[in-house]
Amino acid sequence: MLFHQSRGFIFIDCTCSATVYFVAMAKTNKSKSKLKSKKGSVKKSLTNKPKVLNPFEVHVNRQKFTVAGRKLKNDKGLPGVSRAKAIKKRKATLLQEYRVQHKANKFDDRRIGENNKGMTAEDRVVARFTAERNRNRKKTKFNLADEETLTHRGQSLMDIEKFDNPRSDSEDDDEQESGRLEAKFVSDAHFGGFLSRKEETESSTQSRQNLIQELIAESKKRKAEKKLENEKTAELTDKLDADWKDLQAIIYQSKRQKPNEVEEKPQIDDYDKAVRALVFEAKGVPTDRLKSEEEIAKEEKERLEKLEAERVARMHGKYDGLKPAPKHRSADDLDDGFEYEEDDPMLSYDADGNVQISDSNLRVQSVEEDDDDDDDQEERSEKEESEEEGSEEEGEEEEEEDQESGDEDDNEEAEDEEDDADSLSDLRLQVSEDEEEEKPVKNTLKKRKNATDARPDLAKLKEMMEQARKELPFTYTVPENYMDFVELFEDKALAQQSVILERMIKCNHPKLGNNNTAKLGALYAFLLQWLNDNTVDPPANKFVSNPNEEFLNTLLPHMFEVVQLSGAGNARRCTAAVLTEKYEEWVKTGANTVPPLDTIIFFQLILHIFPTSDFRHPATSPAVVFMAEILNNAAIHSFRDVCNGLFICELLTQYTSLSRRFLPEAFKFLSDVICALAQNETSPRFSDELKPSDLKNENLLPAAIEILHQMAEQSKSNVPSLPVILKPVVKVLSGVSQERIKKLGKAGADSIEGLKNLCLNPGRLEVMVMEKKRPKPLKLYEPRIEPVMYALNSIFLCFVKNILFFSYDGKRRVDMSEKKREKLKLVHKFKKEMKGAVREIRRDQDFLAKVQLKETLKSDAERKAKVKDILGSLATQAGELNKLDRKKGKKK
Amino acid sequence: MYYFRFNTMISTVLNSSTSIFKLAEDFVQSRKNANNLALLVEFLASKSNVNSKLTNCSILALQTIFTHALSERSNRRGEDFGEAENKYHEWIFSKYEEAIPLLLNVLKGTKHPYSVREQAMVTYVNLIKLESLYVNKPDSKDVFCLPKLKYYNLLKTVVSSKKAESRKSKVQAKLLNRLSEFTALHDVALQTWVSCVTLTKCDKKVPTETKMSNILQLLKTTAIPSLSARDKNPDQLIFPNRAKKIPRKFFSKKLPHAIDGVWDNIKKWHHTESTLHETLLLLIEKIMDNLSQPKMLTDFLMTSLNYGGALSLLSLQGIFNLIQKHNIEYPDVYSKLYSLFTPDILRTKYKQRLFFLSDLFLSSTHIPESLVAAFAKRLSRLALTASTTDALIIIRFVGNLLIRHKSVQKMIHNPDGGYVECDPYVEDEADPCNSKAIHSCLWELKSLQNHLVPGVAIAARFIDDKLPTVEWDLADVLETKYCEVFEKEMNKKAKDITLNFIPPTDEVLEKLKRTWLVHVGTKLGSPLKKDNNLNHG
Repeated sequence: MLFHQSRGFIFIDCTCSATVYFVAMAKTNKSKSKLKSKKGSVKKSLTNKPKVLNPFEVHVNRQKFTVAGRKLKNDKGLPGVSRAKAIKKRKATLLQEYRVQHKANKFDDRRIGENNKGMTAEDRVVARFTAERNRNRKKTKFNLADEETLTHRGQSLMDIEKFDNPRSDSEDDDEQESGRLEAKFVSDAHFGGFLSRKEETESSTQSRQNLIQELIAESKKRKAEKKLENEKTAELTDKLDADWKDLQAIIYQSKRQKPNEVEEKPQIDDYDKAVRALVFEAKGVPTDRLKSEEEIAKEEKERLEKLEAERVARMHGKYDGLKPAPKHRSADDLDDGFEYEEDDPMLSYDADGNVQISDSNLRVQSVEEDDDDDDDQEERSEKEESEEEGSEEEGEEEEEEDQESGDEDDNEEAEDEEDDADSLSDLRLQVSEDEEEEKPVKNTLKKRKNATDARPDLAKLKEMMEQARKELPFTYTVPENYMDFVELFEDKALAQQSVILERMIKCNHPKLGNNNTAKLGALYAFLLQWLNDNTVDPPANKFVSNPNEEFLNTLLPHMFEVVQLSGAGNARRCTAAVLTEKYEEWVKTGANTVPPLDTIIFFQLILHIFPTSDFRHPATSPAVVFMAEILNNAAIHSFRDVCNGLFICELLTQYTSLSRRFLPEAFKFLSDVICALAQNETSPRFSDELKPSDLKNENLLPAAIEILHQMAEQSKSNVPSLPVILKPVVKVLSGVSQERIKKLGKAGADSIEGLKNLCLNPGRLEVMVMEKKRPKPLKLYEPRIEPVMYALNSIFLCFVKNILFFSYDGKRRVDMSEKKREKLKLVHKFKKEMKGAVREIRRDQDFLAKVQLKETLKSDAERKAKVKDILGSLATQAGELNKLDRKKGKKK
Repeated sequence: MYYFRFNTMISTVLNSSTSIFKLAEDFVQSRKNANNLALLVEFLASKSNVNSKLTNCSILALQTIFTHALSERSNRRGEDFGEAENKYHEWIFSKYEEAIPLLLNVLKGTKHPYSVREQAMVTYVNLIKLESLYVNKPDSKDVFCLPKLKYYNLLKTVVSSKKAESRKSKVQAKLLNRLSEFTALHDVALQTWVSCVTLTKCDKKVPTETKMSNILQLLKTTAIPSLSARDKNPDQLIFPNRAKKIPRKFFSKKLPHAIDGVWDNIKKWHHTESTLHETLLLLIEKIMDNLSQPKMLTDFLMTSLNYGGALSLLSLQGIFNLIQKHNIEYPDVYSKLYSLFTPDILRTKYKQRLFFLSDLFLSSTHIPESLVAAFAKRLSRLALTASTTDALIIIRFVGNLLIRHKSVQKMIHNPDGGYVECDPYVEDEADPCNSKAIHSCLWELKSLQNHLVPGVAIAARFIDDKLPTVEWDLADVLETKYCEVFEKEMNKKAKDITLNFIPPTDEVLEKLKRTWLVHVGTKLGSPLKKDNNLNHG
């Protein structure tokens, strides 16, 4: 028992690490626990019993009306208590300050724990002691050996720690050696009950006293033996240690003496190597599974579908760049035929039961039905085509694939250096390539059909490009200014220009960072200027193929690429600037001519770069207005003007090919031209300088007719009044003789037929009925949810010139911005605090005044008492003097 | 002998501008040099004189001399001059009479440049003003401030010029413009109107077109004076101190009489289209309100209404004024107005006037709905081929019609619904009430919702919603120009700018190339494809 106890103390001792402290601790433990229990009981009693308020101290602020559910802070108060509290606080703080107000010195009690009321006297002593120890310890920070000696019962713990007396494992086995009683003895003496036979026989000979003496002697002897043995062992150990120390020096010396020898490292095993490599190898991050081709195709298809859906939405002027949020309806909406105003927020709850207000009610209307139909039709027709010409297609496709693979190889060569960083761009490029592959049927077929004569050119171009690829350097930087750009591109063949551009774009891909987006933006501007500078107008009266067509076709794909990479904002800015410049130029010339090709070519560029089907687009809409004005105002002076006008019309048909809208100016222009040409008359549009012979080109009329027909066909579904528009033209065309029509060629004749058909068989018209509007619901149908603003003081409301309105709780709220509200909140808080502070200061003054008054009174009273005292003593003195005098007098 | 001497002197002395001015100075300084006057007059009269600079100087010199001489006499009024002095003045006055026609000659002739002619005119006016001031004071009966005949001659000279060439007529216009500085003065204006009665008279010979247009131009710039204007700003008079002498009767009787006379004469002219045009403008803006019997205009206006185009429009305005102010009844006015709406009228500069007038005409709430419907329909048809700016006006106009006349709203909202085989509207019907437009619908506006210019398309969307109760202000759109639309579109802020997501495919490029080839005719390939699914895939 004893032993165990001592063990337990050792344990505690170690943790406390200070002998003296331990003693103190041991002493205090009991008292502390007593204290604790006392405190606990006090606390319990406090918490358990509700605080009994003295009814005379409670002051109740009476409410005029009781409002259910309203929580009031100030319905009752304890003025006496709070005043007492405040006075107490002042006494502790203000009064102290007052007292030392004019003192140069002050007494600062820095004894540890002196000001801490939470500490008992014991705690303070302990804390001070600890601090003292710590202070001493600091000095011996690095003296590790000279530590405090820990003691246990006056014995140094160091001795114990020396393990001189290790009784570690074998304690239980050889109890005897360890000085304990033998088991046998114990069992006999303690638990035998003194009944065993042996005892009976021996006890007779030996008395109990002897026995005990024997026992003691034995144990003493054993102890002595043990001690002896221990000493021996200790000696031996010491000797061994001493020997070892000698030896140690030698060993270390020997080690140090052979530094030159190559340390023999054990050869690293291959296996170890592998293991280590494996350890340090980056853990494989789980990646997405490689997508199969179908999946890639599907994703691409989805992407395109999404873009297409957005485009269609924009076409109808309903897309706002925001994701369509489904309009939320209350759960118990009966859908009873009321139209909810979009700005009315609906009361709704999310999964957790919190109120949520859906703020965006934008919806993208589903694609209109007729549009779908049209698309279907187109798809059908394409399918048919593909079936018809499926056999031709294959060879061509192979050829294309070859070319593409060739392209890719080249790309790889060019990108060798920046391959790693560029992986994403590769992906993107891949995508675009896929894109083209995806609808091969459509593209290649149409090309085939139309471009029989253009093919040799293309092949030649490809060949030249191949050649150019080999000749030109692989990397290009974007030129700093336009002069450098011109220097680079001048005197280069188109194929070379194309290759240079291709490489320039790749070397300056935005993914490579380095401000490349801006560089490409500049490149776009250069390209625009380049396009402007290199566009030539055909001679006024001669027939030549468009001299810019090849030029534009070479540049366009690259410009498209540049725009995609450098961002739409830049593209729009540059294009708008060019367009404005062209417009101003044109207005300067009088705004009544057909502008030259270097203006028109930008319309074509816009067609390719920006979506022309958008209802309103910052780049295409101005272009459309420009073209409309040209077609409306321009007087025709030459054959070229007619051609350019027709070209604009053709561009407009491309502009409207998806949106199927129409431009009256274009119809007017075409019908003017057609009427004039068909009747061989001059029209008010044609200027006097224009001789009829100038327009004697047999292809002009069919071209105009075809374009008109195409335009009419396009807008047929959206423009119910199309027959009215076409009527005058058709009237003129019906008057044209059959021979003349024959001369126009098959296409022209077909177009005339088509126009006649459109005009004369318009189909029935739907009577206009305004879409039925749902009746508006009554207001306050559901509670109106508003963000509850910070309740503002009415004083502030006077200053706020905003609309006041009453929210559901009847409080006045001001509709204002978040920022302003925040500011007002702060102002309000500030004023509140200010008032509080002023009040506090006033009370402080009161308090001080009282103290001063008290002091004055006190000192006055003291003075009075003193004066009285003095006067009294003086009176006594005088009395005594008189007495003496009287006595003397008597004597006398 | 005398003549010879003069001629030699002219050739020797008057060879520089300084010498001419010297002559004038000498004359002013001393009577010894009185012969200088004769010398100058002779110089101006001599046919050999073609130097315009010297002519100009001599005109100025004459002005100086006559100013001096005439004022000198009048300053010493009341004195008894004596024989010699009177003789001297008589001589001067005879020289004056001699010089005045010479100035007109300069003005009339075409050999001098504009500046000299202008100077001649200014000097002429100044001289007759001096004459009126100093020589013959107007007696109580004659209220005219300037010498009647001389002023008439001036007007006649200015107005009648030789065959108008484009350059000359410009000079004429400039002269008229200069003259208008004088005619703007009220008393001069009065005299102008009276003089014009004889000026416009064409008894035997038909006035040329140039003369007609000149007279019209003159009248156009001449204000019609009134008592109130005279009293209000007396500084707008050539003789402020004589203002009170012009009797009231003159304003109330003689001036209207003169205007009537002018109008009677003008009416009888053989008008060409341009003069008729100007006449109508003059009539509407000036004469009409001052005629004693404006109703007599009806016939004239009716006839000119049949000319068509801008003329009809102007005469229509006249008729409208008559209807408004003089209560004449003209049953056909709406059908006339209706017939005015042709595609050509939108190209004239009177477009705004037309819309403004039609708006007024159709603002009556007592016109039949079939009429309003016909107008709405016809205008919508016009918008189908009109320019963007006109379409904007027309859409608003039609919208206003629909707002004003509730019953016509069934053209955009016919609750019966259903289909019709063809548009019941009869386009060629002259009588708007019989055009059956009320049974039709405004499909044109529906079509315009697909106008390529977004502004127009949005404007045409008004038919999809409940119409507003307050009409739109037409004035906002009447003056719209293409460049404003262009600028508006250019400055439209866009949240995000979208790009094409499919690169330009070869096929589109190919197609455009082919189109070009077809245009210029080097090659004619296979027929163009009809489907248009080319641009965006």
